[in-house]
Amino acid sequence: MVKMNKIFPFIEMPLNTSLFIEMRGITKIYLNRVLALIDVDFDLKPCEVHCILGENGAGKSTLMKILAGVLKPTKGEILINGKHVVFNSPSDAQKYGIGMVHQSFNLVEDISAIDNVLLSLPLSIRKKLWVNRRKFAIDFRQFSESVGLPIDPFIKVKHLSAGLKQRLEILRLLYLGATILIFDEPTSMLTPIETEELFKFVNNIKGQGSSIVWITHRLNEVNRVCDRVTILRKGKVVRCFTEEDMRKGVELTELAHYMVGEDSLDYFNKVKYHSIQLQLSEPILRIENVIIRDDYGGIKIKNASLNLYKGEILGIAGVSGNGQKELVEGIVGYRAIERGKIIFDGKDITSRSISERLKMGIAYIPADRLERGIAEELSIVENIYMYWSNSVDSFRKVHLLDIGSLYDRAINLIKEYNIKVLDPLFPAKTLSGGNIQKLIIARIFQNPNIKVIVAEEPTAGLDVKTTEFVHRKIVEASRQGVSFILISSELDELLKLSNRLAVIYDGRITKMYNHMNNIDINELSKCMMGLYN
Amino acid sequence: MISQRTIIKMISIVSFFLGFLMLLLFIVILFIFVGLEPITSLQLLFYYGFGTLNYFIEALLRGVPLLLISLGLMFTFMAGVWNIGAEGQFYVGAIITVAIALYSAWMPFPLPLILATLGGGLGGALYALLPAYLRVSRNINEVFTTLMLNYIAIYTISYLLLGPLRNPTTNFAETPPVPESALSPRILPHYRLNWLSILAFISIPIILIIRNKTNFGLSIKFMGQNPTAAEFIGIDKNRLILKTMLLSGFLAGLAAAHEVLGVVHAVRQGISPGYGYISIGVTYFGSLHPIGIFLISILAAGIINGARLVSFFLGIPIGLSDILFGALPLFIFISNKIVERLLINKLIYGRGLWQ
Repeated sequence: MVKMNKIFPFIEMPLNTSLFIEMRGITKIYLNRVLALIDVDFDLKPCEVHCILGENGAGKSTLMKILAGVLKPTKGEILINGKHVVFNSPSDAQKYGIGMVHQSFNLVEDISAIDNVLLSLPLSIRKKLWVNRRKFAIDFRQFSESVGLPIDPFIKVKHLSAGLKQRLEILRLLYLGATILIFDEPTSMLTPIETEELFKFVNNIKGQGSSIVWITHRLNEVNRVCDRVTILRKGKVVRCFTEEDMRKGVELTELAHYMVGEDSLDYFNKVKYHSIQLQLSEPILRIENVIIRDDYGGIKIKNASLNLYKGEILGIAGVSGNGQKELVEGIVGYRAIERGKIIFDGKDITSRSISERLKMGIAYIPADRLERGIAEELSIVENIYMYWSNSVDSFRKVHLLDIGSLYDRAINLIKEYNIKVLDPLFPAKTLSGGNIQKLIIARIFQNPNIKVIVAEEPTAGLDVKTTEFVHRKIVEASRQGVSFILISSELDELLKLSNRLAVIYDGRITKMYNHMNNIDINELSKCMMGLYN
Repeated sequence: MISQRTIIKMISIVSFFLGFLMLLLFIVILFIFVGLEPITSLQLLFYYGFGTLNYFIEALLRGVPLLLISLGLMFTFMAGVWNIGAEGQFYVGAIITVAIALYSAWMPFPLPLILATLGGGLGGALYALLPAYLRVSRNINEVFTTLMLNYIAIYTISYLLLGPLRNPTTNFAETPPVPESALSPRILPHYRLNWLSILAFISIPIILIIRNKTNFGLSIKFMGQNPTAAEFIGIDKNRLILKTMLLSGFLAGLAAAHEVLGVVHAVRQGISPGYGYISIGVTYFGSLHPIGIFLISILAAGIINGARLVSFFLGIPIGLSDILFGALPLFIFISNKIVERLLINKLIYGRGLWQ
């Protein structure tokens, strides 16, 4: 059992015994007609890591949100140690020690870490007029060190990196007595080092009596941490691997086969696309000695220069947080450029706005899809054609838009890209993450003006099939002469797609690979860590 | 089976009626509070509001400024720009209208009318330009600037009415009457409804088309929903903020022109019984849709008229309707929230009621 804090003798702790959780016959119907889960059985033993594997929209998150009390099942029951329980809210689940680390963090950005912890204290303590914040903070720091995930309790959450935010969420759950942790796509926001630390932590805490549900679609994580694997596809359990299966070791291709339900998985054959010869003539986009500040006024991009040629995919590799975000925002026009020049197609665009650059032909596939890509409350079709009507000249010059034909074009696009919609007039928030990405990509490729696309983590959080789809679209577009700047934390992706590869470290381009044939991975990772000159 | 889309539409109608019920309940409570018999008073209120042709036309007439201002506010609110300054824009529009009307009286008939009307609109637009510019160039929150500018406008005009523009013949704190050649002619004899009112009603379908069919209207909607994403899909945010504020100010100025040239025929202190503020409630109660706004502005106008006459005949304070419209936005937000929680979450997202 994880060592509990000293000042919480008064928290209900029915948890000194280990919990055995069963979910039986869980069916969940959204929107009165969409079946998210169909008769799913799931169980979780003490001291194990149970992995739930599946594509986007397979029902992984839905199943676990039911266990965490966020959603109610349409049918089915949950048993804890053989006893029937009903969760009406996440706090009900919390009482049994079940906590979930969501994909997007549930933290208040503007207050400190310890305040975030205090906010989720049970009401009985929060109702007290005066809470000894210092005492809690000291205790919390000790607790975090004893668990092995040290964190400064007084730092403001907005200054934390994604990895530390996740760490804070985990600590908060543990601090409040959770023994069952549900991780929803935990590694999607993390750097490789942070991922390693998380694996270590999970193995450590497993030995201390907690159990963990690990939701993922990344196959290589399975052998690293998981004791058992349940694979979901289209709301049904297609396969369970027991401990024995896992001990024997499972082939990743076998897992993928169950996950996707297709035999042809060229994703694993590592097709390398970058065989075409570039005409290295005049670059379409020239970034000359730019200096860009970050949100806090510090200089983040320190003198970076890049050339982008027509029809190439220029990968930018680097450990995240080395200025990729600032560089991207500088190129698309969201962030002011302190010094230096950006020249696009022979024109200096350094001081042009985002919309001007978009009209000239620089498109952006944002990593933060919800915030920068779509308006969640507007309908799916509106999200598509609003993009055209603002960036494509032939639409912008018309005073009265022909909504009917725009609608038809959007519908065709939805079909062409196989975007799974319940109803094209429903708000875009009814789409799953992968489908939102498809939507964003579809509307960009439909725009004939686009010459350069800045793709920031284009496949983060997507399943194998959608990832492959996005890769294919990117390569197709580049063959037609569209240039890409590709920023990704997945080295595999960069190596697979890029024609040239730049390495960014501490705001500088430290290395440039002009040919992808003979890249030494060791040397590359040393460059990314800043160890190689 | 009824489709989800119909349900969503029905929900917004349900929410509307819930808000209306709350409004009625509030009126009843107010009546009880001032010591009146609630049901008969309510009947009287609606009789004086809409009961006869005369009262109904008066309601239409008072509905015009509410309608015009609310249509302008609709655009700003959809865009997420909070123009609280319609009152000030109305006053500036009024004073410019009357000035143009007085100084162009020598021209033949329709010219002064047209010039004064347009001048009023442009005056309102110019007065909205200042907060819009501050927002765009200095990122100063428009809520404060527009609100503060209201007082500047109201008191400056108060000074003008007491000083330079005071009517020399009557010595009241009002401008000289608008000359004959600038008056908006009446449609029916004996009723004050005039051709400028008709113009306001004609503007509804035009606004509807701008809202739903043009890039401008759709971009506004997108920007209101997600301003960050709006930038990334190529919407020029600053230009759109300027445009919506100008449009909103222009319509507030037109409303003022209607009052000056069609109804009051002069500018006096308190020419607006708070149209700019009431319209905020009307805009939301009309669920940011021109048709809804049209209906609500007539309803609101009838209630204002009714409340005034009821206060007059029954000897209760005249501030009754002010209380009502101060509380109106509250009801709308409450009813929207209730309906959203009760129905939408349950039906569409399958969540429980209180999560």
